[in-house]
Amino acid sequence: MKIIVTGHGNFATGLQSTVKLLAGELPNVAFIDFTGDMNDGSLSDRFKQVLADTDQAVFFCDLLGGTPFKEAVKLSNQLGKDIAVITGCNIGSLLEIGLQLGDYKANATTLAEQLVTTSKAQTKVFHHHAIVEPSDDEDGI
Amino acid sequence: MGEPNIVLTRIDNRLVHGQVGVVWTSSAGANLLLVANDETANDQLQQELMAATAETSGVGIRFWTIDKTVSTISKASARQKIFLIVRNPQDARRLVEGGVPIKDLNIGNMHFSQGKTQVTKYTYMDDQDKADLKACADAGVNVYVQEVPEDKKQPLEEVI
Repeated sequence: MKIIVTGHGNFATGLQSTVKLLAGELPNVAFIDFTGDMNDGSLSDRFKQVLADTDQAVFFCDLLGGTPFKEAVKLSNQLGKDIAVITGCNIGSLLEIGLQLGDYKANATTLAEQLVTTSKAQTKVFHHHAIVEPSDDEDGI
Repeated sequence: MGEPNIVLTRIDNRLVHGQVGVVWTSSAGANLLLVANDETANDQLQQELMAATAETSGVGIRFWTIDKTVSTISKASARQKIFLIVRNPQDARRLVEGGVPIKDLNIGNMHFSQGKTQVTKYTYMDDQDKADLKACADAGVNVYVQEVPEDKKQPLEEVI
C-alpha cells in the first residue's frame, strides 16, 4: 500500500518537508508536484511510475476537481488496481496514518476513509476552557 | 427569454479543473458553469470529475454541445450568472458566430501540441487558433490572455 500525495505547485514537496522535519522518511508515501511546466499527461506518467511496484494506493490530493485529482481518478478507473482518491486532507492525518503504513492489510477505500476521518478530527477551532480536575471525593487521582 | 447573463467566457484546454472551478468561478461571481464541449457532453466520467468542484462550490454545472449552447442558452434565467467554458478557439468562434452574446473572452490554458508555437507563458497557438480568435475580436468580443485573476489582462492584439 502506498499513499501518493499530489497537488498544485509544491503542495506535495511542501508537505514532504513537513513530514521530514517531524517524522523523517515515510517509505510508503510518495510526493508528486504538479507544477506550471507540466501537463495532464506528464503528471499521469509520473503517477504510473510510482504505481508500477504496487497494487494498492490512495491518492492524497489537494483540491477536489483539480487536475491532480482528475488524473488520479482516471487512473483508478483504468488500471484495475485497488486505488482510492481523497481530497482536502491534512498533514495530521498523513503523519498519523503514514507512520502505520508498513504492514497495512485492508483495502484502499478503508485507508482512504481513515485519512478523511482523521483529517476531520484534526480540523478544529481552538477554544479556551478551564481544565477541571476531578474532585477529591471521586476515586483515584 | 432575454439575453443570457454571461459573466465570463474562458478558453481552457482542461475545461473545469482546480483553477477554473475554484478561483475563476468565485472571482467572476458566477453561479452556473456551462461547459460547452461536444466530447464532454457525451462523457460520463469527465462530467463526474468536473461536477465534483461545482457541487462543493455550490454552483450549478451543465455539459452542453456547442450546438445546444447556441440554440438554448437564451433560455437562461436572469438570476443565472453564467461562466461559459470552452476547450479551444474553434469552439469559441462557433459560439460567437452562432449568436451567443459573449462580451469578454479570457484565453487561459492553451497547451503545446504539434504545430503550435508559444505566444505567452501558458498559451501555444497555430495559425488557425489565431484566425479564430481574431474572428471573435472582429465580431466585437473583448479577447485577452489572463491565466489567473491576479494577472494583468493582455489584449489579443498585443500577443499575436
